[in-house]
Amino acid sequence: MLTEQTHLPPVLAEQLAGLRHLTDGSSDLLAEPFLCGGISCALVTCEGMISNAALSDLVIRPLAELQAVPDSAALFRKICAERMLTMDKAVVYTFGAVLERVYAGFAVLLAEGQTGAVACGVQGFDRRSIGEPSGETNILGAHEGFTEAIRTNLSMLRRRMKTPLLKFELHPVGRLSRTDTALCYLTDRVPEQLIRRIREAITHTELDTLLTTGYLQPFIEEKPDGLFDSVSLTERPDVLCAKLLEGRVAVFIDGNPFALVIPKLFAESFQSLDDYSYKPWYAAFIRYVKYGAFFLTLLLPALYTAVSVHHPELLNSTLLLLLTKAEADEPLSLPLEAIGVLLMYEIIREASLRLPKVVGGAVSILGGLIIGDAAVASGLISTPMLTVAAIAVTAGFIVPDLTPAVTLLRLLFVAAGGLWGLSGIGLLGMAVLFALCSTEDYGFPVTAPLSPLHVRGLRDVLTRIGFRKMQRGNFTVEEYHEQTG
Amino acid sequence: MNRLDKVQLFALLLLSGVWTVLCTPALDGTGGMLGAVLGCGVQLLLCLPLLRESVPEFSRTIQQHRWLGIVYAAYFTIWGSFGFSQLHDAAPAGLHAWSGGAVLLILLTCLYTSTAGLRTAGRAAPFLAVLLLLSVAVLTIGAGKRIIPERLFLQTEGIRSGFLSYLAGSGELAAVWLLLGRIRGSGNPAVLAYLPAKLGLYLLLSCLSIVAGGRLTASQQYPFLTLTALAQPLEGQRADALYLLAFVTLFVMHLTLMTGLAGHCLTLLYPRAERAVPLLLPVMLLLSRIFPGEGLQMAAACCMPVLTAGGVLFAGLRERRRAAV
Repeated sequence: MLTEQTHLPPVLAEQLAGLRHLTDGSSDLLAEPFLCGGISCALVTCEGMISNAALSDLVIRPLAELQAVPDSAALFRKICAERMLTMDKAVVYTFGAVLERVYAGFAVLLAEGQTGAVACGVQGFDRRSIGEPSGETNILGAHEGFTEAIRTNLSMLRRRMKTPLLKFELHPVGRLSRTDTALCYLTDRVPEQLIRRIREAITHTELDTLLTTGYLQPFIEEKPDGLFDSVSLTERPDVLCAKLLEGRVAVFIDGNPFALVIPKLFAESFQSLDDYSYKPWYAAFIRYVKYGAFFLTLLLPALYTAVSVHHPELLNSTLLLLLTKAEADEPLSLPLEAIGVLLMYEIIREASLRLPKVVGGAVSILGGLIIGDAAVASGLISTPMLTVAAIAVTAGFIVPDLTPAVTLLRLLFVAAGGLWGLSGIGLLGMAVLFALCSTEDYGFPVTAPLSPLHVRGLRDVLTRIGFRKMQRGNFTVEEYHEQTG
Repeated sequence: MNRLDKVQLFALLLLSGVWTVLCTPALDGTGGMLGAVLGCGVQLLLCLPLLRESVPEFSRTIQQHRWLGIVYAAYFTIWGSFGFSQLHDAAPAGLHAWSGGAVLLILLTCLYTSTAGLRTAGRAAPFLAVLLLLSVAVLTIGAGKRIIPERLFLQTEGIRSGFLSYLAGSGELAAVWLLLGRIRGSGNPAVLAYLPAKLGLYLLLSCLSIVAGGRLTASQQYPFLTLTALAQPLEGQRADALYLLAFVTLFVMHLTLMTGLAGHCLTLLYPRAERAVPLLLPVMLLLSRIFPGEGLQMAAACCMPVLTAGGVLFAGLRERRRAAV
């Protein structure tokens, strides 16, 4: 019974037949027999996974130049010991190992009389070129982001950190896909225990395939169902370098332009690379604008609803008259109106995201101008409510990292505020605060450095000090680590 | 071990303490303030046995003397139920409403927060302490406009009642021994900072109530809650929303802490009881309805000094006797 674990037989024809049998004659498996040093050989590749130029220059030409050898053992000895061929070279012995290499873009040399095969890395497939990140744009920093090819991403990191302390560990994940994942960290800044736990989490992942970071994230996070993420994502190599310098661990997945970063701190959601390019005083000001925007996006519609419905005495007379006038003819109750407007926004946002870019713009115009204007003109929605919703969702764009949690919580806060007023908002706020405070991964609470308080960490949270001071003391996130259990 | 740090311990104790301060039922003038200072002095004396270096570990002690664990669990449950009584009794002051829906909502929130554990409560406490400070700052600014300094004059009446009321309103002190065992490093600075911080807040609120509220707050029940209605920093708008938020969150924090402490004691004695800890909340609510108001406070007040210092002294004596044998 031929399986992937079966060792290669010494007969070339049987080797080729075995490969064809295991792949069921798949058309992308190419096997080309030829004579090399007088020995019958075959070069096995996968169509579309290799660079023909590299194959020709690095493998075929050196093999063709080989003098006659007495037997295949001498041929392999010569190839392995005397010819370099490619940097990425290995000898494999089973059908499964041969196929794994072939599908990873290797050219595998089989020879008559040999129970091993030489695999040479000649990968070369079409890939997206390096471009500006779509979600983490900045003004003053580099304009390149990660791509789908894992090795390109690793090289982008290496280009920025030419130190032997930066280590990459490749682990194939996925029973069927055998997707390459890479663990990246600085060996002197991450405790071995943390690396071991993350490595175990990745290697013990029981998945058939690994297509996006979302597949792997639940296996890495300790509380995958929590409201807040305990693992962050980045598509910027410069941001990732900064995080690695702080003793964090990154995980790349082949075919995905995002890196998972462990651990995550909640305060990081308000930081961007530009903060470190501007003058500290301006960066600190922008930070506080972001903190304010977070509370606005989360609470403004809820506070508006709660105050208007339950606590109108909190408004001054002008505002009260204005709102009374605006809401007097509305057919819906204020909480329902707020929830309706926010849901409408989510629908428009989702529609413009999923549609092709050309049509996406039209959806925004249709949703924003036509529906919005028509809804106000027809009296379905009041102008103050639309203004409040617009301010809230615009403020949300400032902290895109928190969009999933904010979207849901904003609606819940509106419901709580509409039903129970400010008490409802306060109580839900308590529940959310506790949910945030209970989020941690591998002993790193997301609320650090605020609680538990680490005064040194506040220099990049409550303010943004200059780099002369920030570089002092070799800060790593290990300072925030708490014993669990 | 689930550990807290000094700031978290300070914030936890302060928030729980301030809840009781806010619900102070009556104002005893400057005499009452003097009494509170004396009460704080006594509290410091009660805490002294806990601040020694060789304090017997709480968890080990109650595992050796299980009845002590049950006493502490019962005490924290009673103190939690007293919180419900305070919430109920303070409703007429007008800051919040007491209704079936409101209680159910509070209960649900507390059920969630109490299942998160003491460490999560500790992490949340500093954030809420900031909200408290903000509220106090707004209250002070708001009351500032109504201040008539002549209203504040020294009086000797009310020292005794102020002393007893302040001393009795510090049920959280009984938790110090337990919480100190869960601190990274020494928790003494947190305890030593908490006592004057709570006293300072009490004195500030008392002063503001007297000089800004005058007869109105003096004659009303729950003077500090009445003060929130008077202290409005803006001309055209009211700041009750902020006070209400602070009030509600303080109550949830107080109740979460008491449930967590009682649950911790029970779990140490009966590890299987961990999942049943949230059930303490309905028990607290039930107790508050069966034994309303002052009865519970009197019982808890009598036990507090004994449990704050007595437990640790008892454990120390037992250890010394065992060593001697």
